[in-house]
Amino acid sequence: MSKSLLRKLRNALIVLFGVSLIVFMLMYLSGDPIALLLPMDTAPEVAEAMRESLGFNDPLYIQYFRFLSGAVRGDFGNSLHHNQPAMGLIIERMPATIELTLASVLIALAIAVPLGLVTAVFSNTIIDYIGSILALIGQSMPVFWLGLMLLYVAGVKYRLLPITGRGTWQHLLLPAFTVGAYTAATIARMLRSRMIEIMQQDYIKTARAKGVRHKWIVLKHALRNAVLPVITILALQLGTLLGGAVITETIFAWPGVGRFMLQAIQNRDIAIVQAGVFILAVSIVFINIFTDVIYTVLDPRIRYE
Amino acid sequence: MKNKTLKMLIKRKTALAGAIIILIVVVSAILAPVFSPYDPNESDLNKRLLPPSWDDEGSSEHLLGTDHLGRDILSRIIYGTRISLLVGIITVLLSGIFGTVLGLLGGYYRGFLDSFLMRLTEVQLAFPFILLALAIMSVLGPGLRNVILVLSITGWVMYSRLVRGEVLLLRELEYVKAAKALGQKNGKIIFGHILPNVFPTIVVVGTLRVANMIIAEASLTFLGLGVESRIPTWGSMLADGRGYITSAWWVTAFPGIAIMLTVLGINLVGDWLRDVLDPRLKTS
Repeated sequence: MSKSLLRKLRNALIVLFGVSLIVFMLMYLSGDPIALLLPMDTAPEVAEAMRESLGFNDPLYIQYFRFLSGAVRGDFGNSLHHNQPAMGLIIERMPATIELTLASVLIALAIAVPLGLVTAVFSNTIIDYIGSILALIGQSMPVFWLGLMLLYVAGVKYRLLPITGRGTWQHLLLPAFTVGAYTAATIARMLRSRMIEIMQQDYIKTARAKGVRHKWIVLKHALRNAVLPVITILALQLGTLLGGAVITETIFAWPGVGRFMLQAIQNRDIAIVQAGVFILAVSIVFINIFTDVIYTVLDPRIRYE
Repeated sequence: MKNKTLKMLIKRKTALAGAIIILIVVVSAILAPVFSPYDPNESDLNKRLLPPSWDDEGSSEHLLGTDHLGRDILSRIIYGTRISLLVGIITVLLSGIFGTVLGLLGGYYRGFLDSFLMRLTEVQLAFPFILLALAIMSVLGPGLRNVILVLSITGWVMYSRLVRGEVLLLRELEYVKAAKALGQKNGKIIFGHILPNVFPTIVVVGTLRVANMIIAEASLTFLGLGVESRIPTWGSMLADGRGYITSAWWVTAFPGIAIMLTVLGINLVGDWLRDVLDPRLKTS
């Protein structure tokens, strides 16, 4: 366990260093960071005084280390718009985004596993064709369009579910389905091809020859092995899910980090953008390490030694 | 060979359907002025939010209805194909070339360069793609050129990692070792011997990535940080329609269907290409 995990942790540290560098550089992409902090019509002498007071005249590496030491303590400065610490504002909204992401993972799995299973078991039949086309359509729909259409059909036309806000499970259903649809389609397609591959393996043939019931072979022998890569796909899809959450939160007025960050981007509130991007990237790095560990626990063939 | 490939395409109906969709989209983009019934920016406030022609309140003059400024939706969708294809193809070319070259170099030379590139890709993969693109766009400002730039910068990682993986296998093969033993220069080995063998993988991934880039451009534009609003694009049409979703569904529905069909077409052809050119990618 130790060596490989330590190597992964070392790599994660390097990645986190890179993440901090990119987040820091965001401010300098426009050329002059002061331009992002002050209104366009600010007098040059006021801008210069602010540049000096905020340390923007210091060498870049000093500015970076100042930024890094703040980032490590969760200090990204104050939001221009809210005049409060940016990190605190992001943390306040994290539970809503975590709730939405987890719900979308559950919905994605609830759709993908049966769909992948059925299309594999009935491969090359009409059931497979319909299921596969559904999965392909799911992969081809832009998240925000699906969100808008669900909002119109389920929220406005038939008034089945609430269309904005957060509170009950009903509020969660439309946005979570919107975020999870693409991942559901991706997992269903992957699961189908894995299941078809596994069903041709020798140990499945042996089980059949021994007279094990077909249902048992599919659920116990094949699915168990096919489901493992789902975890990897889910981890890889996390960025997509969080990206989807940014747009979906905006459509359904979901009070999470995504919607808040988009407002910050539109207001050019750089401290919020930096804090949000940083915390989401760090979360992804740690979830990836966690996934690696879970994977080794679940799959006896992979062991850290 | 070409005839054989064509026959295979025709045989696989889903791929053929995809190819037909792509053909329609490409022809629409090239011949947009011929096919569109109206100027995409021509507004007629007397004909605001007209439903599609088959609706009781619709008009036969506007097949898919009109938007909030009375602009013809069909014409705007036809012109919108131009931006979608342009962004999709250029970003895939730019990020594909950049990522491939880095992947080739990292995989072939290994060592520090490889480790550095791999960490770089991991850094980039730690950011949700659309979020990073949005953050950069917010600083650079909206515009077609910036969209292409940002999507190219954020899109190279996929190619780099895939190509590097392939090169690690290829560099150990006999023919590469033989070329080295014969004293061929590294550049000749990388671009003359290894690249042609990696090319099918790049074509498959590149094709599928065009679809992703089309959606990414539409997403950025939808959020107000993409292509300028004066240019008709599918993303801006969806953004316009959002405010009228409760009263005029068609303004949002049709551009979305256009995106979905185009992406579906590309995915169908991409899947087929993958099976033909690089079956090993099938499970990934």
